[in-house]
Amino acid sequence: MTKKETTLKDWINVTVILQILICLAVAIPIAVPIGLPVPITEYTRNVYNIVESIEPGSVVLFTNEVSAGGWGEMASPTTAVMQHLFKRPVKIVFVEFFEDSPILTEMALDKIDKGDKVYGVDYVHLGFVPGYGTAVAMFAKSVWTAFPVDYHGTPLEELPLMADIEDASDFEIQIEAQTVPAVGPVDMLQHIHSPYEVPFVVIATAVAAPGHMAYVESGDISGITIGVKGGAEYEILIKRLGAGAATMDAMSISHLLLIIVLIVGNIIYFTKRRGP
Amino acid sequence: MVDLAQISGIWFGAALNIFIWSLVFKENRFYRFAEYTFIALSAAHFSVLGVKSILTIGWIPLSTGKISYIIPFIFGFLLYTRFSEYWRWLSHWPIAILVGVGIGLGIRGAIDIQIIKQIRATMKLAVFANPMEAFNNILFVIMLISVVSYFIFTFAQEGTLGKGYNYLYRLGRLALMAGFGIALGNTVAVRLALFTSRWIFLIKDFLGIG
Repeated sequence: MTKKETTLKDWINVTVILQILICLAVAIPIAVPIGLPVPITEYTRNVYNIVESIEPGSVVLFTNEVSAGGWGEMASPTTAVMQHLFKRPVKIVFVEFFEDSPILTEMALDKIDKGDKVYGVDYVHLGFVPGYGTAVAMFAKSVWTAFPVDYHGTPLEELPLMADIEDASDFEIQIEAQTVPAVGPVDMLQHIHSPYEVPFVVIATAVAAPGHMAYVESGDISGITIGVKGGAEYEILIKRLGAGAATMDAMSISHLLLIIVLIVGNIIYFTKRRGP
Repeated sequence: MVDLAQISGIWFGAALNIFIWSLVFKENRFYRFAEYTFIALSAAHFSVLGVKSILTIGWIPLSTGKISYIIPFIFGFLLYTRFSEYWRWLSHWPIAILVGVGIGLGIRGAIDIQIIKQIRATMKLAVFANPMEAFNNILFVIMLISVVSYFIFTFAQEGTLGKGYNYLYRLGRLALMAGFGIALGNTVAVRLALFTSRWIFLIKDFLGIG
């Protein structure tokens, strides 16, 4: 039996037309920005205020558990919060407990304006340690045991910032960007926030955020900013527009298209069901 | 000055992007090339990262005189005895340690964070706050009770009490459906965000428009 070749005519159907419409709804606003307003939510403003109120000179722990697949959504909020931290007179320690994340942290660090901050003195990238929750517990108990060297292979003894860091209690606050279920806020709350009383802020995806809200309500998570919209809002707050703001037009138009398609689809479904 | 590495990276990224999207039309060689390239790159990345981690966390401290680091190496090696029928029993020891440590760490803080504080947060919800917040809080408590009741299967829904319970059960089902609807909506939003980020790459970085 000969295999039937797919022709363009076979290929065109309602699904494909919808796919083309979505492509246009996303691509056109990116090429020709409309500048739709982005209202700032209380959640994002709260995170901004928390970062703004960090004591000068204190050390911030920034943990990144974003997967390469999730970076599309998380790049803008993560980069925006990192940029805000670099504007403030604080020291930052970057750590990853997920395999993909060290490269993503480096990509974000390459993009942001570091001002007069010096590597090793004002900020350090320790890199990745395997073990997920177990690694978080080890890191919290002894930073030097978890990381004998930093991401670039430099021994911690040669990094002045690390001289005063022994365990998790030496951090003023922890900020975490997270997409992967393997390691996330629950591990951080159990091994860092609860035993060492380190305030905890989360940069979450839109999918994961409802799950984190229980911890926001209980006060364990001090602040949360959500997905690419949170990123766009944060970019506006720090007055440095980037990928988040560029995405919002496309997001709004494509969501509008989806809502219209949902309504039309439901009308057709119910009309057909009532028919003879 | 033109950065050749950066430009070739953008071209390669854009090509792989289009190859992957070509699956929408039909399965083809370009799509498979992109798929296999992704798998190969992931395997290479994780292999290098694994070896690097063993060297950094285990081998370097061991070689600098921290003899106790030999213990995880021995237990790690014992995991491979699973491949021999005669020595397989030895692999139970590292697995037992892994499970024991995992459970111990899992329990640590869980009671406080996931049980006590959650119950406390539910109970202290302000009912006499502003009207909208009060409505939300009351709705939250009703939904919580109805959803929990949905999962009670121990008695038959008969008589007046059973009828009343049936309403609660149905409300719980509606609350769950609303929750699943929100989760689905968020998933669509995330997929669109990922899709949009690829378009930004193609339009801004690759084509240089906008």
